[in-house]
Amino acid sequence: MKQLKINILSSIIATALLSGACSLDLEPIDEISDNKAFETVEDLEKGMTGVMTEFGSHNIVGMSDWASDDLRYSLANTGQGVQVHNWTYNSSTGDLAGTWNEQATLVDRANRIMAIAARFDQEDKTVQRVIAETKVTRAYGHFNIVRMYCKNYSANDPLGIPYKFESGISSPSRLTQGEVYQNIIADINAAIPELSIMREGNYWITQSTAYALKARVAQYMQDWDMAITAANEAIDLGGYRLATRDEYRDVWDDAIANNVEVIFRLRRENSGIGNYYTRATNGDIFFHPSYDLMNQYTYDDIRGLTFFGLDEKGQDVVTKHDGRPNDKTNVNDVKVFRVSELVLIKAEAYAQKAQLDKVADELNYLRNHRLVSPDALEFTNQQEAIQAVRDERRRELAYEGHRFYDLKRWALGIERLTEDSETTSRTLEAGDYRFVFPVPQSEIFANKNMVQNDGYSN
Amino acid sequence: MKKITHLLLFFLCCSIGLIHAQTKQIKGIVTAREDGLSIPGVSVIVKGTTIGTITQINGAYTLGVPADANTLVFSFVGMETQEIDMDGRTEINVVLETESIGMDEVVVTAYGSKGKVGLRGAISTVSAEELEQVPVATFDQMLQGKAAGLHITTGSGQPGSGNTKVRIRGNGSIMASNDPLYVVDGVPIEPGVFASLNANDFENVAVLKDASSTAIYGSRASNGVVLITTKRGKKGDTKVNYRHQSGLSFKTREKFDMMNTAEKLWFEEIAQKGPGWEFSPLNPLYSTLSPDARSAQDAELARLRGIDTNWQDHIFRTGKTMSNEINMSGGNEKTRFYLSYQNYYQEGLSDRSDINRNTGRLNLDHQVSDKIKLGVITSIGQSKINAIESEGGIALNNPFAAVYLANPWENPYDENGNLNPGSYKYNNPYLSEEENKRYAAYNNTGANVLDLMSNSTRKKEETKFVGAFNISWDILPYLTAKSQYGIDYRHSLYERWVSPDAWASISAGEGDAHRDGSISEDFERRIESTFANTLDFKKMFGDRHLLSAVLGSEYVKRDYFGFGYTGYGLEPKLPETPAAITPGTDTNDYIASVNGYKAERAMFSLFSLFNYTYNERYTLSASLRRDGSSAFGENNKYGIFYSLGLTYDITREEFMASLEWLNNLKFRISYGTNGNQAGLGHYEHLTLWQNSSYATQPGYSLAQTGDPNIKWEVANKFNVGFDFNVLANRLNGTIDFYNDITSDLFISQTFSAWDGVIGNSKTTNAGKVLNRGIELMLNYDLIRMNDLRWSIGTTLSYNKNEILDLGQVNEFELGTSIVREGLPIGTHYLVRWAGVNPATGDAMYYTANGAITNKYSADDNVADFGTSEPPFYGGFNTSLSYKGFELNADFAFANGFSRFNNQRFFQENPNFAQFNQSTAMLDVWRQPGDLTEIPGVHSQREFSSKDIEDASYLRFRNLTLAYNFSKPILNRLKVIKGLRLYAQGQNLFTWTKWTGFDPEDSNNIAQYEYPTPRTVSIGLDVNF
Repeated sequence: MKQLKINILSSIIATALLSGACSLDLEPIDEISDNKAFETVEDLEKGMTGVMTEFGSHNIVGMSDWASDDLRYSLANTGQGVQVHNWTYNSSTGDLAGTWNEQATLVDRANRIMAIAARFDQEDKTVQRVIAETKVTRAYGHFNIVRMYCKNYSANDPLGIPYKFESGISSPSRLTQGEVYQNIIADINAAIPELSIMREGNYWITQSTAYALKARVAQYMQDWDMAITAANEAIDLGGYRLATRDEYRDVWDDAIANNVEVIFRLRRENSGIGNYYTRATNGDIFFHPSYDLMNQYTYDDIRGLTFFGLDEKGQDVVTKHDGRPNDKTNVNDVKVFRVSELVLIKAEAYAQKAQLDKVADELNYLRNHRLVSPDALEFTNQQEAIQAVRDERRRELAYEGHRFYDLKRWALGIERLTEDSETTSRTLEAGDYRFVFPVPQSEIFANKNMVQNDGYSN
Repeated sequence: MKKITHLLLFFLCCSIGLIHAQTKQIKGIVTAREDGLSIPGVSVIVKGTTIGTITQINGAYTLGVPADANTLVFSFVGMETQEIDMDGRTEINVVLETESIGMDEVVVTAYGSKGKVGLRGAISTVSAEELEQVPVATFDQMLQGKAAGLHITTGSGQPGSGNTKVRIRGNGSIMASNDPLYVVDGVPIEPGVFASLNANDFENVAVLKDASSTAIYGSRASNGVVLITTKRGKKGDTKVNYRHQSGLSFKTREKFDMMNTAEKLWFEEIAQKGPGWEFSPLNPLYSTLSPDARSAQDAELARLRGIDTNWQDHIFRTGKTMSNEINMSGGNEKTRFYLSYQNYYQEGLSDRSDINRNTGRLNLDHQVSDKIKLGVITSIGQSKINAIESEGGIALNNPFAAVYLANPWENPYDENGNLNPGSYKYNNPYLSEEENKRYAAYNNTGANVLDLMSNSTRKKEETKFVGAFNISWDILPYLTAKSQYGIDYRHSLYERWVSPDAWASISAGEGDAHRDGSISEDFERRIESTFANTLDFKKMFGDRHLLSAVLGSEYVKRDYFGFGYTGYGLEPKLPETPAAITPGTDTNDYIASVNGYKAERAMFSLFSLFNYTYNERYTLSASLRRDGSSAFGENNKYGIFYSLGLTYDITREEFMASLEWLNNLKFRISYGTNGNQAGLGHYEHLTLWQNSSYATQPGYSLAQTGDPNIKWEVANKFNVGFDFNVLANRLNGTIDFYNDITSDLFISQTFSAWDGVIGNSKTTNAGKVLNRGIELMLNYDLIRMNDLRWSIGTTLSYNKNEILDLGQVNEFELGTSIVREGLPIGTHYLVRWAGVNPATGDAMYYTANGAITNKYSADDNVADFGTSEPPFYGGFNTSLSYKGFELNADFAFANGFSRFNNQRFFQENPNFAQFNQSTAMLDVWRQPGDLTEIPGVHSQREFSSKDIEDASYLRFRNLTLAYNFSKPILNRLKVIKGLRLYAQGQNLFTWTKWTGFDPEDSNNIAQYEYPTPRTVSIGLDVNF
């Protein structure tokens, strides 16, 4: 009897204590947990598609324009970009945190998908392609931050940026610029063989995208041979060509054939770059195009005719990113890499290498697609060629996130015209510390290893 | 048996029992079976009353008892309580037996079989008598002022509102919940959802405060625990009890006045806003008018002057309250039951505001054999609540805002006597259409609210079931196994209907989905099931060592589910039904919206509680609990909580025996840990993905970055206290000191952008808060005569709250408050008001450095205005009885806190002169030299310390006058065994400087919350 009691007792205790012990791993019902989300290669592709949604607002474009000599402050401006335009920014300037936060997030998302892809069959072509796409994405995200928050390329400059190879909580330190560029190039090189040559709509990362990025990186490193090779690969692989003068407006209306002009663009449905210049809801102008920039174009230049317009009150307004026809105002796809940028990279490379005929060839090729029967250029000295490339680059790539970083690259200052700076700052000397944007205060606060750029108090 | 003094259970002292006419004397001697010696200090009480005495040093007692009294209760620590029927005897000698199992005086048990292993520590109990027939729908409100260390405030007078704040020993958490854990008969229930429970069914409510008493509840107990025990049947004749109560609710008088028409039109002229200015001869446009236009405009102004609407007459009402209840209890040796049904109806202070509730309960106990017992508790309640619009919101749809903000010159009805919604805009017949644009349109704030109230509904239907089934088996005399499955089930249905005839629908534009009315239904279901298994052990070793222990496990599972829809294009002849919805098409804009969610959460725990008593003097209590929760991160899946406590019964020491005045003195000390997991999301530890799309392709995007380290908040609690009875038990009390530190608080932490945390910030465990305080509970019997008894009692609590650490930051702002290290939670943070510059009429402020400026800047915010959480609070009560009459009065107070009166920002603000203004604005600065606190109308109104007011209050909470009919009268009625008639007033008067509606509100800011009513009611209780 006693034994029976003990038996019953112990079984009661055992049942009681162990019941439900293993039921604590509850999966969410309304969202997908990490291990359930990625079960098939198709899921992995969806993960990469998710990464494509994280490329961000391309704040890098807006900051370049606000800070450069391509815009003129509008009276209707209620504070948009005023600190950036007047170079009165500091580490708390919210606008300047945009790229840092968005592109670091992009790097993180790419790293997450890369880690997830490692769980799949590494021989699978799609898996290999997704991994390659994440690598290019990662390189792209890092490079955007370098462009804004670092000085001109110098391998030993200790104030590079962190390079994240995997997702996770850490307090990453700044590497030397050399290390950062090395990692960027390594990621691109590793990715290229596995990428698609061409994908529908240029909305996805292809070999041409990777080479275009490589060309741009090489330009920043002043590795002119690498720049020329990569630019040629980018154009040739996808069979890309420049848009003609007649096609040029269609480029900005997002109505252009697959192999014309645009190598890589980001699909945008709800918000676009146009909001850096005007308010979508009521057309209020934050910034007009500067007289300085408008003066750069001849009357027959399709670019001036496409980039500038007048609003209903007759005021000058930037129309480059003002939206697709019959669609939302200020919403366009973000054109990340275009053939003309690669042509200009080559031109700049040849100019630096003093191959003056080749400079002329590249520039004439471009100008023939933009002007009505332009005179062919010829150069007699290197300085002339360099200047011509710079002018052409300003005209072609205005409002695409290059001007301010180009001026920094070329070690030039900013001198706004008097009529472009009646109520705003006029001059930023060449080499001023403010050509390098401050690391956001939130990053300094949260990351104990983060070092601020020179000239900024914290 | 030692010569020791006695102990009287303190709830008997502070409870208010039925007092009967006294007619006879009973005497006798109490001895112990064990040694035959007399026992001094035995409590002798007339059952069901507070009439009682204590045996003398020789064990003798004399007690005057009412003629109708039947039973005497003899109780003594360590002895089995005996109930003796008097049967007309005048001498009753009693032999008490040593309690067979042990010697604890058990007040409260957690888990385990009743009576075996008691909880020790700082516990306040509130008995049934204090909760019965209080005219409020939710029981948490009834606990106001009843226990030391417990602070309860009501955020809404809406009948059935769950907006009641219950705090035990202050706020230990900054971002997570500070609600205690509620457990009914061993079943944990959802906090704040009590509208469908009938508090008349409660036998008692125990408030557990220190670690010693709460640690057994582990990761849910850091805010304290409220244990509710419901009534059970007792063997004997079936008792039937009928209760009825009827009452009226009135609005209390606010401490501000709004302008009448003459005042308002005068003010509009000064503020240059509103018709008073538009029609004024001082208006520069006046001189441009033709004589005809001028006189037409003058006539319109005169017409407005003739209107003087008192909106309170149109919006407030006197609410009716009625409840009817019948309960029965009884049983035999094997089966006992308690059965009750109640209907409770209460109207609020505005139309379309009421609760109608039906509740039922059946508690059954059945003895299968002498070893095995079954028990079932079931309680089901359904409440239907009609709620006002925008309750507690600064919104013109909120009738308690509109009633003050509607202009007195607005007429609720048009010439035909119909409600007049929309807006008022004057049209001068002598001006062109273009010229008439000079007259602005003014919302008919009052009529719009009345229109919406009569053409829309906002209903909540809540169904709640709390039940449990348990079985217990006495395996050995000293060992019991018990298993209980319990469930707390609730579903709520929210219905929102706006008639197509409502002005809000009529005025909606073409293409607006709401233009033909709308109906939404939202369903919400929450199920919490608990499966608890315990082994109780209690045994005496030798004659000095008493050991008791509980060992158990508990599995708690919660399921959440909800869905809803909103449909449009309603058929006017089908009110309040989804059948009226027009299906949506591409063109009609009626596409219905749907939503829904599901989630679940589980917890598995092992626990033990251990009490060891040596020689009846020293009791060592210890508890240990291990909680695993599905919400905890993988690296912190299990939390361990413990407590250690010591109780020392000093009066049992021989050296104390000479102190005759000291009846009882007990010393308690405890330390331990608790957790709080209420602020933790169900899946916060997991990395989650959601659907997204890019260039027409579907994708998965990161939705949440999981934190595998996330865990519970930890409270470390220290408590030391004394319980005492002195002067022949005339004075009894409890005093406690505590020091609680909550750490690992849920605080938002900022991360490096490289960490990939969504939004670069995320809740983490950081931060530390201190609550240190002292509590005193005292009851004193001033008069203890046979016919006349008078007692007074008080509970006083002082709590010091301080934020010790916030992790990554030192402070962050939270609305008009600041969370800053070194300051208490709820600290106001605003610019200091410096008055009005008499020369300019500008509002003046102090800068952060103390200079006076007329430039307002939020950078000058300072934290010098105290906190919205009262440090000092409590209550006092007195009860007087004479023969069958009882008179009880209850007061509550809170002191040393302030609240932000946001209402003044709207009703003392020239920018809002299109709405009615407070009469305070009559003192507006008008010319240089005016000395006033109201700036000129040119001066921008800002948030400043001007609107922070001392909210300390003293409230006359309850006054009850009752008469209990005496036995001789009842005997003539044969069937009736007891009859009690009473009248009571609730929330009778409040002394305060606060000028908002109610200083005793649940938050830091006054925003036209539904005011708490004053309720007067009468009732009767009949026993058959």
